[in-house]
Amino acid sequence: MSSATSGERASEDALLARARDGDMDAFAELVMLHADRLFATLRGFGLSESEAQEVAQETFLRAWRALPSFEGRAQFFTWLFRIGFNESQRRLARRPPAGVEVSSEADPLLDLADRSPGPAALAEAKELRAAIRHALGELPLELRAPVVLRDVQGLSTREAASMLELGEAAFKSRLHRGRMALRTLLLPRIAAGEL
Amino acid sequence: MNRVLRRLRFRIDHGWTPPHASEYLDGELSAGARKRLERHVDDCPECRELLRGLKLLIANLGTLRAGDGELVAASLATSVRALLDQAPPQSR
Repeated sequence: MSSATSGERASEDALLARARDGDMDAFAELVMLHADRLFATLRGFGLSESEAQEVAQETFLRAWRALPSFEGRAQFFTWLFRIGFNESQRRLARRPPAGVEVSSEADPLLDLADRSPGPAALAEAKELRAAIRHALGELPLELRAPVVLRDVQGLSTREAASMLELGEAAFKSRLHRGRMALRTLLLPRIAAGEL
Repeated sequence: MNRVLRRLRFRIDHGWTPPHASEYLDGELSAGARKRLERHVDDCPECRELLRGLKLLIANLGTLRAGDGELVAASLATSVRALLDQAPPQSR
């Protein structure tokens, strides 16, 4: 996933200008544009489905309140992401230290997945994704965030580093450490050919 | 290259390859460094396995990307809009 095209950017800029003037409908359209991506990113950070919904909602509300101070130096999603990232950190910090919550809620991917594979294959895919999410959740956020942005969201190194306000070298180092830690956690599955 | 030098090069590259595996997979290594890594991986089953595992991992992480699309977006847009309606007007 990379930056918006110039057409999308122009349309987003127009919505932003209207939203800054207090147009809630324009802001609701911005929410529609970015909600899915923000939600998926928050899930990747280890939030459960309901937590990600709440944090995304809070992120948009904070963004609405702070919109007059948004200067447009960063892309809107980058700015939004930073608010969401801070909210996620707060939410994760409030959790009991017992460990990572593994959501038992329905995996949204299954609702959209190609229906052709049989139930067993779908269950396996779901189980594998849950295992990957669980492993991701075991990483400290400083390693998890680079992996989520680069490998889950598909951002470029440059974009992802900028979102985390890191230099590219520091970002690459964390990304690699995160991947290596994940690989270690998932090694039995890799060895068994499940990945 | 004699045998001792080959062994030495193998050992040096064996230490150098793992920390560069991510950059290799992301296409961010220079041509020379890429060639060096590929040459080592050809000779080293351990590093080959490391690279294979990371590649599989990255591919699988990509499957977590999709949310439930319009459903999440529409639901969030609705709830945010409702909350904004309830909020006291702000000076802009």
